[in-house]
Amino acid sequence: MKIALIAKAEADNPKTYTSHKNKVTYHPENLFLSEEDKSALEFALQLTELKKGTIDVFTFEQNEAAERILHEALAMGATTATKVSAGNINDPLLQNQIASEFVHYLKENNENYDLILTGKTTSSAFPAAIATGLGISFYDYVSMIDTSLNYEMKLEKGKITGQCVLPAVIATLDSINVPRLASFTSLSTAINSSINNVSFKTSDEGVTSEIVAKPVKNEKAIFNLDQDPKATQKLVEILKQNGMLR
Amino acid sequence: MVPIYYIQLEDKNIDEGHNSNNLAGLDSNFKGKKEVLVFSNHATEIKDKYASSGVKTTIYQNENFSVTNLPAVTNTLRKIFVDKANSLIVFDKCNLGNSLGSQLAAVLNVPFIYNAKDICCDQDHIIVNQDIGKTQALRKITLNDKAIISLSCNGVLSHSKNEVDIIDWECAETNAAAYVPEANSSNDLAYAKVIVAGGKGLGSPDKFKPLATLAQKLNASVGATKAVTDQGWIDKNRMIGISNLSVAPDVYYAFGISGAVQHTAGMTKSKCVIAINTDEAAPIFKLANYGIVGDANQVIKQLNELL
Repeated sequence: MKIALIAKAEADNPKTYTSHKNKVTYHPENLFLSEEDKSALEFALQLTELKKGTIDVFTFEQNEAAERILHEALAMGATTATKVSAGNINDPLLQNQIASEFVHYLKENNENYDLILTGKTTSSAFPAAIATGLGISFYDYVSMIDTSLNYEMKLEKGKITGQCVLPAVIATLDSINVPRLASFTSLSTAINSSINNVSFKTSDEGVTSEIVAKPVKNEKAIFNLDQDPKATQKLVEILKQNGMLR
Repeated sequence: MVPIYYIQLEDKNIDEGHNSNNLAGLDSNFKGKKEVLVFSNHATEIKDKYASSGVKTTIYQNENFSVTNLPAVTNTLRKIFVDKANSLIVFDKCNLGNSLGSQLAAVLNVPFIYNAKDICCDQDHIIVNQDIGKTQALRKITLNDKAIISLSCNGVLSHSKNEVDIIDWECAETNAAAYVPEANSSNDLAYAKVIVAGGKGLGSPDKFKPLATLAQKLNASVGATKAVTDQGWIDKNRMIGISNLSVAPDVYYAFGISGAVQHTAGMTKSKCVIAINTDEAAPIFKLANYGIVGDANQVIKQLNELL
């Protein structure tokens, strides 16, 4: 069985971007393989242990974060690791283009994966775009999946259940399993393992999004009705202003 | 102004895919041409709900439609939007909305911005801000062409009448997927986006009537403390706290609630807390983002008049 994993950094780390006096600083040193991708990789390992196969890990993260993520994946048991340089994968304005280039790369290299897994760190369109480009099934928000590919898709008040039809792209939550820990020996081996490098040229004409500092939120607003008869009116105004009430 | 299309799913057998709070907020959040597109299997039963939303609505009706058949919705939306010029397609900020939004964005080859924080529209383009996880940064995205977003916006129902068209829709055969509801899925309080909760500070059970009126205006569910449900002022299944229900709404209004830990343990996941209590030292104000020190019943009366 041929499996690909698209590995990403933890999206929720508050230390990834810090801001001071409206200047935003990016901290790639705080980026590690996400818990969701660890769980996705654990599922891939369980499948290949059962059905024999390989796991090729790709990351679109950049700089030191990319190597760290790939080494972690190799230490857990991935077969190969590839760093893809293709622009900012987190930019919604670039995702479709990057996905298209990745699909083109897979087709050119006859990489016919049975399964492409990715951890659901964010709700980006990237996995769906890959599935559409390859013309294969897409399963999203998978909160449970077994080695027979019976799955559950988590919704607000319940879940959709079914069986995955391969080939497919599956975006999984970290609830699917508890990933194994890499041993010290495998970590040492992984750090010395080679990482493949691939580059896609994305268009220079494309508009990109901007990273800006979050505006400083106002302190909480507590009014006193005895001292200010218009307290309720002021509360309504501030709620409307801050989007709690339109 | 860029036209806005809001997508909803209404399945009589599965309570997923629609959000009355977003519908209420749609009219006041967005200027210019707006339309709601609803995919349903019981159009005549839901027609009145959309007829008083204040926004023109088209209901695509097929009695065999199911929320488990998302490809049918994506395929139809692709046909509707593939040739449409600059437009903004809006889904609810939830797993279903995000999944549909991302799949539609992939087939239309347009950007998808999930969980949009706020939006600014002008004549020619739209600027969307998106939180970057729990960091101190935002992603600012300028959209010059067709795009898809998911967001959550609360509002007050306008109750103004609008046009609703029902179109028969050809939907492909359902797939083999099934839906399994959560144990408490029928409890509206458990999944409410806006909650108005009353405590002993309201004084008596009949004070829950104006609270219910306020809840209707805010499209909210009514909750209560254990002290109140133990007295029999309101049904026990309305209790929020350790002994019953934990909730995580976007907005939580606490009227006459002191903030005892047995209650607050059930609502600390609320994104925004608004507290009204006569005691300025009440623990609830430590959790509150906004509030009023004053008589809760008087504030409820004033809110009912203002909204």
